[in-house]
Amino acid sequence: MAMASSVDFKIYVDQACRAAEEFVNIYYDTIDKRRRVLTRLYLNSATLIWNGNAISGQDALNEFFEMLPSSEFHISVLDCQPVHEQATQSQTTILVVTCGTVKFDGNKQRYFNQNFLLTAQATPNNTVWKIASDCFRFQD
Amino acid sequence: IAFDVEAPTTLPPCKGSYFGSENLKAMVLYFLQQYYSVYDSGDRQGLLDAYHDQACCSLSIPFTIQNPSRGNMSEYFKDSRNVKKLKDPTLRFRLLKHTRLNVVAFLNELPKTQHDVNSFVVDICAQTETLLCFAVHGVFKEVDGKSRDSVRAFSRVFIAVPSNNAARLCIVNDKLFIRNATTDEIRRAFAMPAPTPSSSPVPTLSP
Repeated sequence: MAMASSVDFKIYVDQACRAAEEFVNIYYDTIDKRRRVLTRLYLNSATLIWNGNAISGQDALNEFFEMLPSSEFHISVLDCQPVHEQATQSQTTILVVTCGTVKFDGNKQRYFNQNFLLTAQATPNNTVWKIASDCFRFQD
Repeated sequence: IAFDVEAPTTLPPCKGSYFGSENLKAMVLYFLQQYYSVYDSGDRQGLLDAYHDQACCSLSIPFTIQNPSRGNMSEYFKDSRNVKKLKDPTLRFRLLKHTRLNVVAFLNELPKTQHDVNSFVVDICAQTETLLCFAVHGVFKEVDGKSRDSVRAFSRVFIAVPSNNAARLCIVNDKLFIRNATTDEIRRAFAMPAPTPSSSPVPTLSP
């Protein structure tokens, strides 16, 4: 991702915003309604830090999300940035940050903050964004 | 006939900071100490050294209108970048501060602050040879202006690359979220002693 000019940078900002908007719709809909397939959104090597608990890899993530009570997420704030190429070894990556409320079954509604690093995986036909890292914290 | 397929209702325990390793912990805590000592100094120009030439930075505040008696967030509103609400690409672009000079000029315009470093909870979100992504949550208070002494909570994500000086971090991405602190957070902030019956202002302890 070359950032030689502000014109280029604007293209990356637009791309990041579109990907982030689409991602949050899919991510929170999947975690709420189709939890079994949630880990398909993660890279095999992805790491989740959930309120200080570290979970790495598909198997551990599957196990974690199976044990996590069913959820109702509501997102009120979304922001995103293209991550600088020097940090990503030119692998197109965006930072996505959300905040909102979540009601886990059997628990009271809580405020939370979450951030994701999404990387673009190019396939012959299209580009698929995958979660490289996910960091979640309650905020109250 | 009964089937006992119970859905889970127990959440994993919430833990404190996640650093991954003692080395990362030392590096990130050192960075944060240095960073916030300049950030809170009254002049944030010194942060130029902490940012990459092509760094970017954005700020968001909650969309909902909160209890006005706890201090409003109007000083942050014009810079708030919430892609969920703002659909105009030009505005989205303008609210993302880009290049070191613009980022630091922007930070320098934000209200003067004092952060409670003892409140910080830090998570190392991702780490590779070329990237360190970490989140910081905590509280601060404003030390001047019309919201003087208002306690705010913040969550901030930094992405850094190794700098020429191996011991230092160079920020390429900075995402700041600010909201009003909750009653509990205000109570715990700055290890504030219980209010005294006298009418004199309650002293606060510096971190």
